[in-house]
Amino acid sequence: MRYAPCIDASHVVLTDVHKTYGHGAGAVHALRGVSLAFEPGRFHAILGPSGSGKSTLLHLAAGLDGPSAGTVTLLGRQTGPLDDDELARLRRRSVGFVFQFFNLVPTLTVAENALLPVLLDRRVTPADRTRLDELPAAMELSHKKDRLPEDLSGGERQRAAIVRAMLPAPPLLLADEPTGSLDSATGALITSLLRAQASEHGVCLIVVTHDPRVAEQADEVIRLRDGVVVARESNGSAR
Amino acid sequence: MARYLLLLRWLLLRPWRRNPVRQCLTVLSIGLGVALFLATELTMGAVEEAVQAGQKALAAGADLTVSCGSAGLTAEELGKLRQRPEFAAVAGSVQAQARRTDGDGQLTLLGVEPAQVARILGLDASAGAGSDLDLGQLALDPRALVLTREGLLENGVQRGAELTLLTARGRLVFIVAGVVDAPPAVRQALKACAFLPLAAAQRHFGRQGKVDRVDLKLALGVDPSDGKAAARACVTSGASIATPAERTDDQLAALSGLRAMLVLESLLALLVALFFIYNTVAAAVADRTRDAGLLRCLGLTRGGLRALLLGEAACAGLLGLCVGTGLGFVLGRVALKIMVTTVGILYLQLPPIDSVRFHGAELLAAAAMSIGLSVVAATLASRSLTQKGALEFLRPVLTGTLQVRGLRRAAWLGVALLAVAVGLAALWPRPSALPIGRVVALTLPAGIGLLAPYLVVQVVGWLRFRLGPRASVPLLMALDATRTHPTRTAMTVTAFALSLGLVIGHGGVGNSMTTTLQSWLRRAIPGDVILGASFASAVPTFPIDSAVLEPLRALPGVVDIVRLRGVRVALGDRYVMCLAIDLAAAKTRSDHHYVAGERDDAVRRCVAGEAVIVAENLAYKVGLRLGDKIPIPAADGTVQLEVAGIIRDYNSPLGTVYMDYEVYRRLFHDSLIDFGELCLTDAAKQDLAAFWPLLAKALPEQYHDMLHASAKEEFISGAIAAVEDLNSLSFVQIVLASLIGSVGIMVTVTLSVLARRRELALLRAVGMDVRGLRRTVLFEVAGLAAAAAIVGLVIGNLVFVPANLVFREFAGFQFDYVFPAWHCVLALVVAGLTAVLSAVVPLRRVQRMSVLEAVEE
Repeated sequence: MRYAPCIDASHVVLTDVHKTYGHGAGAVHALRGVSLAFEPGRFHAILGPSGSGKSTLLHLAAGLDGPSAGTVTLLGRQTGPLDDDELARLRRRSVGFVFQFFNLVPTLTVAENALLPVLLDRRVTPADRTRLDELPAAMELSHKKDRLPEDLSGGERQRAAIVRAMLPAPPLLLADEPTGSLDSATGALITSLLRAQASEHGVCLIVVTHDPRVAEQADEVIRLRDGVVVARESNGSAR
Repeated sequence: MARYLLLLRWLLLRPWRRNPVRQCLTVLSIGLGVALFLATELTMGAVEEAVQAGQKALAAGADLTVSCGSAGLTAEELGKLRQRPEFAAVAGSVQAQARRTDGDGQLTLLGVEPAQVARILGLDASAGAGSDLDLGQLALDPRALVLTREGLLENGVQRGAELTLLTARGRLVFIVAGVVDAPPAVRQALKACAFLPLAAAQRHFGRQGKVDRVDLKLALGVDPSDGKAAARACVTSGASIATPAERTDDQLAALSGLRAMLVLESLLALLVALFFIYNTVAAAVADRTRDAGLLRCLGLTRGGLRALLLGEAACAGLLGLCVGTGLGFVLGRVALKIMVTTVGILYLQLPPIDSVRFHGAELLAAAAMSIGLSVVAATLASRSLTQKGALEFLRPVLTGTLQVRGLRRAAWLGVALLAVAVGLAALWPRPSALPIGRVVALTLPAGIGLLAPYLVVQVVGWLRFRLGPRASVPLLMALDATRTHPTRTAMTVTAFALSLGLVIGHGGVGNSMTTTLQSWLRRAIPGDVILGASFASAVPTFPIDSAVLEPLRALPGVVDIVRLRGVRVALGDRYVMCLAIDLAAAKTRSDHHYVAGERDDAVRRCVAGEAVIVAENLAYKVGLRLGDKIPIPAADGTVQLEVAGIIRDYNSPLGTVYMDYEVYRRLFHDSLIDFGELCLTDAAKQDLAAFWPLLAKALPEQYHDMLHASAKEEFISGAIAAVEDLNSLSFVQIVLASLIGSVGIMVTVTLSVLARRRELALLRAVGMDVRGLRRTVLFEVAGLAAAAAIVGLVIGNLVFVPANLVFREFAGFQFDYVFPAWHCVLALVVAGLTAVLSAVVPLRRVQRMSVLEAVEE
């Protein structure tokens, strides 16, 4: 089933979302009544200390997990009623992922890694091939398209991960600590490349980070503590 | 599909290059299992084809064949058959074995009517088109003999040349009067056959007025059952009348026990392979958990992940099939020689077989097995991976979680299987039409194999907490590694134990067989020197005239001579061995164990021609008891003889009927013998070296080339060697199964240690030295090997019970248990060596491990 075009201005909407792991006395309340909307073309940064619920929020937004209570609407569809395979299809057509440790498949070249999400969904089209030329060029990776991840530096690996996330042209791009394992200069470059995806291509970008320098680049900063949104700051007010 | 194949290549097959050793070993495990199965099928297939081709060639398009064992059919019976309107053609033949004087080549001499030669060879009788055959000469010249073109090459002679052959009647000189082109279908079968005129054959082999078999061609429109009835009216009641297919079935049935045993062993080897395929696939799956999680995050569905993993397993199975097919062909060729010799000694003479041939069905079965087993193993191994949600891959893995629920279920299944095995073995009434022995042979080891791992994990867990802080850290780490990965431990222990159990079990069964047979032969053989008409071995090739023995009675040191003749006779719808022996002479010098009946009375009645003694295996199979009457098809009609005794006997898997030699001679009009046994004085026994020249001098010169004399112990060794040849064939299977086991344990231990790189690195980080790490690995490997060895010892020794049941089902034999001490030692050495070898690679890796890199993984 193909994903229906967005019917709402927000790509991801969380309404009174609760997420609890475990039962009884040992239960962990990762999110408590979170309501948020993430809009296209904007860079949303989620900040908070460890255990605040950042990653849980990202997983819910990606359709990797379901809420214990409340609703998550991803590109106009509630994720709750979808089964595992439907969620997988939704993810591969609509969500791009960038991880802290890159998670490139070590036996595939940069170009093959980039094509992987497309191949999981459908045949590679000429449009995909064009993007496979354009995106690495934009990331300054054209000369390393046929290299294996082990031949790349940390920054190059993360740029390759961004190419992979963006090749299917997803409306939603999620990044979990994308600069966490990079030096500050490379981190700044990666942040600007991610930001460009939101501002230039209209992608809804959600980045979970500890790094205030990443948050400075965001259009909106959401601060979480103990599973609750404690602050939402827009543009310059976050800096 | 193209997309799927591309993903399969990218994501699963390309990583093979990163672990070539592991992949090669997985493929080798599958390949060895397939090779064993194929080798068995190919070898037995070649033997069965040879039997069928031989029958087809000799049947020469006949619809029915009439025979009456060594008694033969008379000219009068032949004449009656010829007068029946139901038969369009009636052809009698005489058959004898011979050997060239200048080599080992053996020939089957077929005395036939010239027209029958043409029919056998598919020639036009009037023209002999395409062949160099003069039917006229063949009919007239008593020395004339015809060979096929292949036979000519085989025997290295030309048309018109003389061919001297050693036969039951001594040395005979023939002339190659013709050469024929045999049709391709029977070319191989007829390579070792020579044809000569019937009348000449009757004269040469003392069969005047008799034929060994009569082939009948039914008249147009006559039903085979009517033809059988018509033939039955013409011949003695003891004669066997069968279609060529029925005759073939009878011979194939005799081989079914052998086939079942070999197939059972190859299936057990495949079972061992299955465990290791599971283990290697499970390790590969564990290796790829991270990649699988990534793919699931990127949108791969559960079904898609499962399809990729099963596709990879199918590829491994396909490669295993290729390796196994090649290995199986080589093994099959090697095994064929042993099989032909052994089958020839134990069951029936086979026509020459050059090679094994693949058939579609065998390859299909092998493909289904290799790919099927791999896919089954992969399905089981990847079940947990494919059932996980995408997010579960991103969460940290809780190590050390003991998941014994599956093991407990397996243990209960094991208990149930053991109960079935014990119940069937102890309580099921026998003989039974159901294959109880084979069911027990599979359920007993499988039951122990399923129960043992649970017990091992429980014992390790008990030890772990019992030892507590008193034990060294490496020992505790090793115990934890074994305990906290129960599935891996279970699979490794079970598979290794099964392969060791096979070695021990095979040794136990082999030892029991040879010990029982040796002891029986020593008690049963009355003579001190055994004479047989054989060219090379103690097993006779053809019978000789009993008159040969007469001059030997006067030899100094000879107290008595026991004549012995063994022929196959039809007993109802089955063939049995009829053993004619001088019972009175044998009685005082042999010590048969009487299961029923009293020795003196039984022998007296046999000598009087009133009764027979039957072997226990025949009594078991047919349900005979003392006092029952059995119909013996003699030359002048069927004679009813009473069972006067039942003795423990291992002469023939067909079952044996003992009768007095003089009674046999009278009933069958046959004065040939297969063996002459000379009973010597103590002094002569002590000085056999002096006896041999005297014996050689006393024997007629014409028999010098073919009579084989051996001392009793030498003869027993020869007979045991034949059994050991058969054992060696299945031992090859067992050795390969153990090889699979050893390879498998090496792979799994290596993977198990490598999978704990991070854990081991953490130990290094908190201060454990390399020596400590080494000891951890060694303790783990030694523990697994010890557990497998213990379970293997139990399985190996208990497997004698179902093996004995299988022997009972097929041959009616029962053997006495003998502890396989040497095989146990061998299994323990193999376990130790495997443990040491298994530790080499992981130890090297662990020693070279970078602590920081491993912790960061």
